[in-house]
Amino acid sequence: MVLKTSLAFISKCNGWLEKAIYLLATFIVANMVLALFLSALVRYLSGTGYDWFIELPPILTSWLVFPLLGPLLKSGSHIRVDIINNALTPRNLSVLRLTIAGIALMASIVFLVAGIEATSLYYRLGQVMELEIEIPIWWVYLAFPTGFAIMTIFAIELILIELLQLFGREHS
Amino acid sequence: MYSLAIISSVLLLLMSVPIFLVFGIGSSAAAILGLGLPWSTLIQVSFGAMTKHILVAVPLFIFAGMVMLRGGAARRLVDFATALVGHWPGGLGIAMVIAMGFFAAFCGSILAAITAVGTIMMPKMLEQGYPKPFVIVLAASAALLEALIPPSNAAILFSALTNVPVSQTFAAGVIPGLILLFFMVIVVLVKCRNIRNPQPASAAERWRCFIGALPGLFTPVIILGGIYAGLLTPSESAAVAGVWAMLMGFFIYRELTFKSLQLALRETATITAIIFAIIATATFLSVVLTYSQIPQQIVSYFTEMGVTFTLFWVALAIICLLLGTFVEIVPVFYLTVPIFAAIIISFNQSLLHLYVVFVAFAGIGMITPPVCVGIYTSASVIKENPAKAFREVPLFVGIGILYGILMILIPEASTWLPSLLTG
Repeated sequence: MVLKTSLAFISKCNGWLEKAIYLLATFIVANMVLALFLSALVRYLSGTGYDWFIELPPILTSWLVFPLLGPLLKSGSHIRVDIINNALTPRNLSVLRLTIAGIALMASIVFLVAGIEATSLYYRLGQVMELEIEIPIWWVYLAFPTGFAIMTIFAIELILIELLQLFGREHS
Repeated sequence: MYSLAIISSVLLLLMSVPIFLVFGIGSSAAAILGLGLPWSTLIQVSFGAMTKHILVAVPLFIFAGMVMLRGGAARRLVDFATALVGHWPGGLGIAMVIAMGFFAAFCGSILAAITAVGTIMMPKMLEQGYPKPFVIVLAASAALLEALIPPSNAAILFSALTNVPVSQTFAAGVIPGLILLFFMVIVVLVKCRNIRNPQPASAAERWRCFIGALPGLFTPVIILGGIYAGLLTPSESAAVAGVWAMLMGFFIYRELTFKSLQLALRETATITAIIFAIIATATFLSVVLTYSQIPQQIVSYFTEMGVTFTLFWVALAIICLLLGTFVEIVPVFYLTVPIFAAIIISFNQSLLHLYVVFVAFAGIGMITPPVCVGIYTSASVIKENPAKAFREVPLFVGIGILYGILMILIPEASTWLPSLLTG
């Protein structure tokens, strides 16, 4: 009962989070296309370009990639080697998925802590990117712990899903 | 420590743990516990690799392909290819290969190429009596053209890893890509010589199809013309291709809607995140390799053992084939290219030659089970069990190996055009 309630709550939160993350991701891709197109256009028309247009898209990449790690983990979209999956019984497959989710949870916690450590280092250093508009470097690095924090929540959801499936199977 | 990291990584890989986590866990354990490096170094190098300006072209080419898929350009290219060669023996198969070649020239995603061309061609081919397993494996193999015919994401990744200008890597893929296309056409001609469309397209129909496909055919001219004329950087050319794809979809073909554009953006984000997650953590491995000087040790081992250049190619072919069978092409790039590149430089040979031979052998992995995303995708297009297509795999693997050997023997295929373009 506790598992079911927790899963319902976390799934609802993750549903909203996923929508927000995809909204951010589509916005970033659209921005990349627009910025680099404008970079070429402005340079062609005026003869001089703006560094801002060229340097913005690479900076946005980290905010495109890391927040999506969690939703992609949940949907099983990450590239993996599926050698043993077909040979397993449904119960063993559930156990394997639970183990993978557990590993993902532990790894995401380690990377989250490491990311916080690295981001705070750059925050303390106070470095800024060499752009037309100065951006603190830690803003870019913040994507790393943010992404792994999100992945932690999604890994917990996956663990709950697999636990419920396992218990359900054993009851039936 | 290193052996423990390698063993645990292999174990995690076999357990189906996502590859970006395998790279992250194994390499960071070796770097932090084995080499005593701080996390900030790993993360800094990882961000440095991810935010390379050239890599921005990857999502932008994927976006261009996704928009063309939804905006009607892909369908018109297929119609044009069918009108051209559809009446030949095995005509629809050849048309699919040619359409893949066309589509590859402006799309950065192998999976998008299979979906775009396969969705239209594969049901038609089955209707005409082409064997289902052959159609599935042909679509998956033809998609390999994307890895060679520019603009190719494989070329961009290779350039990002080796610092070879992407304009040269793009040029290096042109002739090998056309040779591969020729190989595929021959396979279809021989294998499906008894299947033909009785009614060839009329001259008027061919002209109509050509006019319909013309805006799409113009895309590679924009991309490559812009780069080689020095007007655009590769990333800008990718963005221009994306905007051109939108203009075609909205105003010329009028098949693109805001809903489908949103979907294209979302799919681009998804594919980008999948690829870049691997890049981010695979860079941890490159940090370990750099600090432990493993590539240098391998190079000196090769030199001391008196390993010949031919033996190196044999080793590369076997490693790529083995790794490609179990791992996708992007991780194989980050796992092996830094080491292969160091060896190639020590032999004083061309990195462009390495690029083509590497792609030829690692690309075969796209169709070798158990990890063959190309076959899975093409099988899902016609809702077939991919395992049923596996019996056709040996033929295409054989052709792939033959092609790879040819690319080893003829380095000029990869080096002549780049040297011509760069003077």
